[in-house]
Amino acid sequence: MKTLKAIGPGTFGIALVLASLLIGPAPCPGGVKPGGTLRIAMYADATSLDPGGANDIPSQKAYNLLFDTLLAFDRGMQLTGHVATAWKASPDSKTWTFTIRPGITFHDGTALTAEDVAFSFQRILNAPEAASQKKSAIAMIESIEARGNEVIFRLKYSFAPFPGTTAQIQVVPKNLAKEVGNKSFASRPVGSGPFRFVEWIKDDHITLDRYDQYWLKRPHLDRVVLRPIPEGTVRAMSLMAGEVDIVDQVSSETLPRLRGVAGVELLTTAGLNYYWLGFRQYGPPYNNLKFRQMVYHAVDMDGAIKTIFPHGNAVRAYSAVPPLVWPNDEKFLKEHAFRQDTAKAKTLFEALIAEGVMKRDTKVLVSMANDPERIKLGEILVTNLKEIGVNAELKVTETGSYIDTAIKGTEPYIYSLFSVPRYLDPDAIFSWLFLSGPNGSTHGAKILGLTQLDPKINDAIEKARVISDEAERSRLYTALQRDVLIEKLYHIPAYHRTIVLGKRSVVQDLYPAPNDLFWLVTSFSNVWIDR
Amino acid sequence: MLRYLGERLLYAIPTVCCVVFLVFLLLHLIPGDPAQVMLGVGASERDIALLREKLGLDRPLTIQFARYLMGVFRGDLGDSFAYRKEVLQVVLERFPATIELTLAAMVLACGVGIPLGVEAALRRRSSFDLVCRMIALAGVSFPVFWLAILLMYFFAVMLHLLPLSGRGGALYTWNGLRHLLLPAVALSTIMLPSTMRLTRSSMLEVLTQEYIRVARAKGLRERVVIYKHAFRNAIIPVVTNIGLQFGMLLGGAFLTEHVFAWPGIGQLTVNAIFRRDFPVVQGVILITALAFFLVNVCVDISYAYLDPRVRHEMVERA
Repeated sequence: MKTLKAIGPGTFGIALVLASLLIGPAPCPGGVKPGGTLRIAMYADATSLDPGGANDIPSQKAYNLLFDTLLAFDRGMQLTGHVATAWKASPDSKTWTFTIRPGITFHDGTALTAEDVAFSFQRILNAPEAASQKKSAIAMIESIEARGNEVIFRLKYSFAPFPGTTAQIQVVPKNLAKEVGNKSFASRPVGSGPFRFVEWIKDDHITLDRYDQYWLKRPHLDRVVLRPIPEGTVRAMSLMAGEVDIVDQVSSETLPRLRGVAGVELLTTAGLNYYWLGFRQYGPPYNNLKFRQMVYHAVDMDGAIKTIFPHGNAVRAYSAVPPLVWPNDEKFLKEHAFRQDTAKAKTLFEALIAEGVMKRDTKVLVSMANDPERIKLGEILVTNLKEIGVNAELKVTETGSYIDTAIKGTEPYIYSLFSVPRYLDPDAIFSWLFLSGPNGSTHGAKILGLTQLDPKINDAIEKARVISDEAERSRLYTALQRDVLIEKLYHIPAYHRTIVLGKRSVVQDLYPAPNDLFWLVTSFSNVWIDR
Repeated sequence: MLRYLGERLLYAIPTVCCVVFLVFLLLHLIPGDPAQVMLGVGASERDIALLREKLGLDRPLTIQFARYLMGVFRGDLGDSFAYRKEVLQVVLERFPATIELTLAAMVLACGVGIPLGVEAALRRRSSFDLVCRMIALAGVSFPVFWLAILLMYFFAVMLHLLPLSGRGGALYTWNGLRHLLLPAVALSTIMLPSTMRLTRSSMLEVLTQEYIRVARAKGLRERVVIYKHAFRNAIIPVVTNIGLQFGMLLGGAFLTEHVFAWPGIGQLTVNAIFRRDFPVVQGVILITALAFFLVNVCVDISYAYLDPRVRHEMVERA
């Protein structure tokens, strides 16, 4: 009793504090452990942290953590409000009004307003000073007005897919960006995203710290360090050695090695890409439907996919629309896709010779960019064509030259490209691939050789842009796709690459993003480290 | 000496100008439009044309080159298309890392190769000599890329002794040194075998000279004979080789930087070529050419120190 009396309230209080220090802070709900530094290895360094300045994937991955967009994507890649809480269109889809969420602040403490949103779009449109790759995605904007807590976009023409384009444009602080200029802003970017900029040692690392006042939720991580490690094998070894916690772009060669490593997990999701073989319509025999049918019957596409991707990091494509993007017509397109039929291919070859479309020794050129996977695809196609007696030849060109020559040249050949939609709407896919006309063809159409107006294609694309009824738009795109892929055979769909992310097991609540970004703090996740 | 340096500088100017012109020409011959790359495949023809005009790409090649050369003499290497910054700033941010790596590799190659070459010559036809020659053969046979991956796997992944990639800080920090070791070792294998072999053969030749026999006959200690008389003459062709190998090291550094994610100009240049970032590629070539020139001037000056005949000739000329 004497002992108990000697322990006064003050002593007891001190003991309680000391005990709590030893035990540590109370754990967050669900066992989450806040804090720690997440180290991410990327395949290349960013070129700019100014979202208006660069649109390459590494730059996007970095500035996506620093900035917010008007709209964003949920886990199923459906558009959802972000900086904007609501949006509506005029009946003719030419005027769009977005309501801005209150209470969002930039990393310098200033409030995010409608003026900042309007400015962010305007600076992109002010090319060539901004020289932004994003300009083409929002080129339909005629004027932008900030009115109270609303931003009103007036478009040059009706454009139902407009909301999807806003998910590409990050909101920057108007006053700061104007004051310091684009160059300085790129060196010390200020956004409203979950992380704020600390430092960038070029080609070595980018360091970002948690932004405690992030409006969506407080990030669990203290810090994120992005490290460019170009060589795929080295990225994999970094993960194995525990030097990094996440690696992107896990290559086919390192996949099997990483699968067996303790403490390492692989996350996969369908990618938003589409790879195909195309026939340039600039001359015979490539502009002959029977020739295209012959090639389609000759090629063993299923076998090619298995050979090129033995570890299953790609799926056979039957549609130009990637998984997770509507409309989904995969079932029909798969049923009507050609299977390898060597006998039929040979018959068609003989028919083409008999009709004078080509001779027996006519050289069929298969041109590929200098990309190992597409080179293999080209080799397989050439082998399959030779098996039916066609004099096929493979030509490999450096990627930059390949695209430039394909856009500017008029030589016909079989080519392979890939596309990723600039905004998540079927309009982005079909217009880039096939839209041609008096105002000029898109690059996809030029590469294909569709320089003349094709009313069936153009009418469908132009009409689908104007109407807002998704079901009707879906019907138009479905009919268009069936026409170009089944009837006209402009493309042979090849594959959709799977996004593969490698992570240490201690990294929790991470989901792989189909758009190849890092989803660290979203409406459905908040990454933390269990160590 | 100053006059000699001045003469060398005068000779360097037309050489560097020729290099810059050749690179300029070759870059512009490669298909691919920088404006197209900057704006992306979705850009309109009008925007591409406007940007080409802004960047001066619509002007004739001769005008573009003349403007570039005038800028070079003013110290202005233009702006990077991709980074939207001055090329000089972009290159100088990364150049120290490359020089650090290259010099470290050179120090390692010379620090190991020269002593081994001397000892191999002194112990000719011994098992030590045989091992040295095998090391030299292995060094020229193993690709740097492969050796780099091997070193990484063994020291970083298996033993966790050294970091795998990146630059951990300045050279004078412990972390910086730890990060530098593996890439420097990998890169040094480009120069080490030739340095070792050349030192060995040069020593063997010198050791058969009359004055070495005289030195021994005079009763000088063997150490003095070898290092004061023989080595000093034998090292002259090795020094020449170092100057030439520096260029190879710089080239090899590009690959080593890629593998080790070392933030030098190698990475920058490879990316700039793919992006058609002409000003950056031209800037890197120019600065590399100047660095190569400086190293060779240093090599030539070192002759004056090593060989009194050369020093005497320089003085007479002046």
